[in-house]
Amino acid sequence: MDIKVNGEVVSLNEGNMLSDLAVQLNLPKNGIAVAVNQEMVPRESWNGFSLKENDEIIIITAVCGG
Amino acid sequence: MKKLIIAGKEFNSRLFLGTGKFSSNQIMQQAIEASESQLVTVAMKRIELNDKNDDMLKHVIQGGVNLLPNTSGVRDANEAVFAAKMSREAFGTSWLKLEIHPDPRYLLPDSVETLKATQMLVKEGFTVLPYCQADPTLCRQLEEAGAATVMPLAAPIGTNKGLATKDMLRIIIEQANIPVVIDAGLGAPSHAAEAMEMGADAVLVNTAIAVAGNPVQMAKAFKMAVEAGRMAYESGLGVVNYNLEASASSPLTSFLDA
Repeated sequence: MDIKVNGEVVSLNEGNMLSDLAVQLNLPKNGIAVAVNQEMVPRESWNGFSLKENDEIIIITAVCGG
Repeated sequence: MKKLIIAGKEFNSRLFLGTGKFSSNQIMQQAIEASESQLVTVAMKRIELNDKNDDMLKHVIQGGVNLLPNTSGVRDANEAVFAAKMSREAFGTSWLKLEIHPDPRYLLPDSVETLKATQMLVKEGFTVLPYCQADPTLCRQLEEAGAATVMPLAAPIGTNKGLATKDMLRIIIEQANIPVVIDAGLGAPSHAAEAMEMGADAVLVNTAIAVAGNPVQMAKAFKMAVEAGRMAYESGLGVVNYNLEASASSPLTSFLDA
């Protein structure tokens, strides 16, 4: 299944849960947030959150700024 | 000096720091330490897949430093609310420097969207510190909307021009019942000192420190200026005499006369 992560097409290798994507991308344990189709999904809900073909995922982290 | 209290939280330092434009995370970390700031801004970006870059947060979060994530990059109130929710999830704080400046040329905040976003975010339980125009009417409206502070600009971001909006800032300070943080445009410690002498509760500085020849020393210079300015304000400054006559500070007795 293909989804988009920060604009790039990513193929999910195993499973279709957001937590599967987190494992596949080796996402850090903290300092990030994930939104699916413009809705923030809290980390504690990743396990039960199933992704669909062409879902648009945004993952943000900190960057220097004023 | 009196402690600064924002939304029930006490601060020993009245200097807030931005983390943009430093030449390295190490210099940034040292500058934060030298400034003794307890509130430091960060921005958000989309993560780059497979990026193994140094995590900047570990250079920011040191003893006593609190994060103030900003919403830089959003263009309206709805985007700001989305960014705020992402920020709260990523950084574990509901504090937010709300900044909505859709125009990349002047980076001036959009007052209408900033007020709207403040109203929405307060309802969502955020502690909102809006970056805003030096507009006394707007600042009152932001206060009524539940903002934790107002953060009017001294001059456009990164210009180092100092207190270009001085008269408006004076009115804002006089009217406000919440802390007034002068943000943007402060280019020298003397600007920060003057803002504090005027009665500002704090200042937020980034460019002037980050791009200085010696950012760590400049951070210390700003710290000292902020303290000096605040101390002067609390001591009660003398009234400026606008007529041309002097007022003697030594006795005018003619002790040389025979």
